[in-house]
Amino acid sequence: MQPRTLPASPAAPAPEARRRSVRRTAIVFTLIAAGFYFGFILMMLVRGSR
Amino acid sequence: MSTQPAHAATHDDDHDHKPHGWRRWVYATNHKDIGTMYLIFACTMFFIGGAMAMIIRLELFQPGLQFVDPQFFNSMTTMHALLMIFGAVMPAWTGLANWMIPMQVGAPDMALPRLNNFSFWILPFAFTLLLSSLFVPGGAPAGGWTMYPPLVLQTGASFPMLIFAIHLMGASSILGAINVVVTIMNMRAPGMTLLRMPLFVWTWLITAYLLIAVMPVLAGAVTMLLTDHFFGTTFFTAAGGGDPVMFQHIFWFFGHPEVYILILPAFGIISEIIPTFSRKPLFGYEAMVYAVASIAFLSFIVWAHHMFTVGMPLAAQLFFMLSTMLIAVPTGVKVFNWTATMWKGSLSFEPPMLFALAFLFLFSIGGFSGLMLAMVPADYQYQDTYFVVAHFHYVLVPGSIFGIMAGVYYWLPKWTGNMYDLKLATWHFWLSTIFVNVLFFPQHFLGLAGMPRRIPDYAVQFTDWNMVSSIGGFGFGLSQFLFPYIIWKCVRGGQRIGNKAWEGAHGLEWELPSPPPYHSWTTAPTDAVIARGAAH
Repeated sequence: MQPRTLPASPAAPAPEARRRSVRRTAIVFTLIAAGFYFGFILMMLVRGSR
Repeated sequence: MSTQPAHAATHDDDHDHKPHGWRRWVYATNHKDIGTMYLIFACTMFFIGGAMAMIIRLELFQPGLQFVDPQFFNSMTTMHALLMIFGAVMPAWTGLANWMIPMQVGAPDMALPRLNNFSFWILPFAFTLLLSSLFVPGGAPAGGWTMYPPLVLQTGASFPMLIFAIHLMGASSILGAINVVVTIMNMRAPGMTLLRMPLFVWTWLITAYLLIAVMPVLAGAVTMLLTDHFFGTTFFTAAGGGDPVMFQHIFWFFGHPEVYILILPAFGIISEIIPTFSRKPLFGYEAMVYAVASIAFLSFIVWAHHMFTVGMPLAAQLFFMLSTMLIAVPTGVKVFNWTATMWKGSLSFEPPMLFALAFLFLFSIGGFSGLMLAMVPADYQYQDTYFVVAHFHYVLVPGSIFGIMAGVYYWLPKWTGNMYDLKLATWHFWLSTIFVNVLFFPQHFLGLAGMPRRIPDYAVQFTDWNMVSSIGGFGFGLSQFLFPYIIWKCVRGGQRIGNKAWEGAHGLEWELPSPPPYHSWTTAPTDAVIARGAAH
């Protein structure tokens, strides 16, 4: 089994940069999930009660 | 099996201190500890849900009412499904994700460890609530795991417990999914590009997106049930202008992607195991990634095949029939690629490979019966019969459950540093595979002959195959006790293994010592280490 030759990898991000990136992605996905979760419930309740 | 001595860790062991006692588990933020708790929880739910299945098969051993009353029987079918889906299979996948994803992408831990702790600890509360509904007036929910109104609205005191438990399970799944996405997006080692990730990581990434997309839909649906029950709304009550069929559309818009949430990580595990024991790279890695993504996309546009008989326009029936059949194309790509991986390989048949092969054959049977059910005119005949029960159990037991067992047998030596009892695990495989077929294959015949599902009593012509099915059920149930025993024995000791438990294994997890250090990759792996692991 011949491993594929890999190009040189980019340097590891600095811990602070990675922390910021983790925080940003977590916030974005939390907002998406919470938006879906509560948005869907609200939409159903509002539309259904007309 | 490789038995070379463990060589030095590729990271700094100074970080390898861990808390002790109950605090280690209650306040756990380590991905391996949380993964272990998820797996123990899933195993516990598997046995409780399994005990309920034994009650179902005991009652169905003969026609007539022998052991339980019909209401309790219906509670058993409902609770069995809820426990197995939300309590056993989903937490088992999250447990495996916790254990393996950081190790496979070259990260020290999951990106959000405290969130990880929170999403696990929601589960015991959710299932304690759900299980305690067995003891309230009116008994546990008995309207089926699909909770169709108006039947489910007749549930007694356990109704709000069911709804709240489902909200908790949904919240736990969404939080776990966010953690997986954030980890894969941010914590990969430099050089571990998306198309170099192991298939298990890929399938979990896609599963996480599915979870974030569809669990809120379930939350919306059950909230509407709650307001219909307690606050006088009539979303699903025809007398008030509502539409009970609307619930089915909303439920299955969640429910069909849920089926893929239960099976996609198994595709990833099988894609790890087959190359290892064929000693060949995976055939068509990129095609596999695109096939999984296609299956996930298609899962959103097929939901109404669960409800062909409710009466929908012909154009809608044709659309859902054809879109469902389209899933066979990426699924065929996957089965072809797994088979092509084995072609001219140097095969060996250790327990993970045995479970993977059984998965390949038996999941395909579930896939074929799925195609039969996708045909509208045929589905009119099969709807709500035991044929459907046979179909989805072939997908979920030798599919998802065998996938989980294959994964545990594959990575258990890595987790513990010890090889497990291969002979006993092979016994576990053969007993499981024989009995799972004795249990579920006759249910195809029962369904084709017209036996309805979710009934505690049946016409006498169905007796013989029900007896065979029950014998298979008892055999399968008993043989599962081997699984925790094998794991327990392995944790306590066994033949020591080196970094690699299996000769043909590739991937970053096999570059770490066995058992791996408490924090997996405190220093990112080098290009050379990643290159050794990237066998595809």
